[in-house]
Amino acid sequence: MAHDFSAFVRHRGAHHLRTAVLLTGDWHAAEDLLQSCLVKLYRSWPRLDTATDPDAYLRRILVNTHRSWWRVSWRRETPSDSMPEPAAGQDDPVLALAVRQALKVLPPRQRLALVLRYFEDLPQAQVAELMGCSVGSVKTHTHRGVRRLREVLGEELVPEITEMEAKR
Amino acid sequence: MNRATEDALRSLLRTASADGPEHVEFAVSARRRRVLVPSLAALLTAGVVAVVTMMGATSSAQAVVAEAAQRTASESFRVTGTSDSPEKSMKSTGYFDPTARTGRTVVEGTGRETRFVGDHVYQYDGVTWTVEPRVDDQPIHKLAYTDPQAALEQLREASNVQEQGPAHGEGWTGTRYSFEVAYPDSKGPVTEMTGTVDIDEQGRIRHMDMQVGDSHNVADYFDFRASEEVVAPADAQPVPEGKRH
Repeated sequence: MAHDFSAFVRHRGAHHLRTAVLLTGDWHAAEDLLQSCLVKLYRSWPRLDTATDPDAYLRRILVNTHRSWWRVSWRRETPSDSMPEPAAGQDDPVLALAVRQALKVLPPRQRLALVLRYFEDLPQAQVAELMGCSVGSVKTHTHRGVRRLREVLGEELVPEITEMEAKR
Repeated sequence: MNRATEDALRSLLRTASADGPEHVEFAVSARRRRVLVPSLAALLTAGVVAVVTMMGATSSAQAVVAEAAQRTASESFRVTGTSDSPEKSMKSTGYFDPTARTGRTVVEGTGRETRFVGDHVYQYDGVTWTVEPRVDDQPIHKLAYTDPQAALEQLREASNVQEQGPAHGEGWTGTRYSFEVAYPDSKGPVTEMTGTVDIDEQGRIRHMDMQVGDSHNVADYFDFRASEEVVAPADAQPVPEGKRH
């Protein structure tokens, strides 16, 4: 069991850490979040049957744990109107930081919808199930999240979508 | 949402999460040291603290080094520096007080001395003192020898930082990190300098080792919170602008 668990973490841990950093906005918080989730996963590991996808299970723990952390910590956070400077180049650490800062500007539900839909590449129905809402709400969160990201990062990085397309 | 927007979002999210560790291991430790799990079952029974080990965790290691450079540069210290190349070998000893913005380095066996006071640097060639504005845009391996205070500032900009393992020196133990620093070079647009830096358990820089071509440069930091008076020489002559370093 221990061997299987360690192998899973070695094989898939980095991917889930990347999901965590998109949700939290910085690597230190992402490490803490993933660490907490892996402990929970390990405790459940003996009960997972062969039909259970450990990726999906860990993703659910990540979403739920991050949600509970956010609920505890939101009162300590100071909302800011200041926007990060849009980055000029592509595929560089400056852009990575700018996008993470832009994600932090989003309300948590919008951020979560974007990460699950476009980083984890989950279908809308599965995103809705994870978020505990309807598919329509996922579309709304996604649409608003994209619009906010565009305001922060600019149309060059987040191309415009039409109102017609947004209603699909 | 159209395809272009979706593709752009996927690309941005990949980029935003691409500068982290390449591998993750699961580990436990009671003191948050990075030790592989001897028995994961102990987690359930003993409630041992679990630690996720980030292999090649560049951003975390980078943050540790940057923080150590900042911490070290915020209190006074003594330093020795050596520079070895086929052409010459030099050794210097120095003292820096960032709060007072003063410092002094003496090159052994040459009579040459450099004093840093505020925005000015005073240099003694064995005969006369000269003064010119202090600059810190030299390559870090030279700064480690001529101006260790400024070298710490440049270390904060290091890239590709990787944890290498334990390190120790006289009276301290810590961790070694490798790093790269890019700087403008008269021979080309940018030169990459590689090196290692040792950080003690108090989070201070203790040792830097840098290699550029056939030049090997080392700086050792010690005697933190030392106190020494450094004053500007009264008879220093200004260096003409065209002859400044």
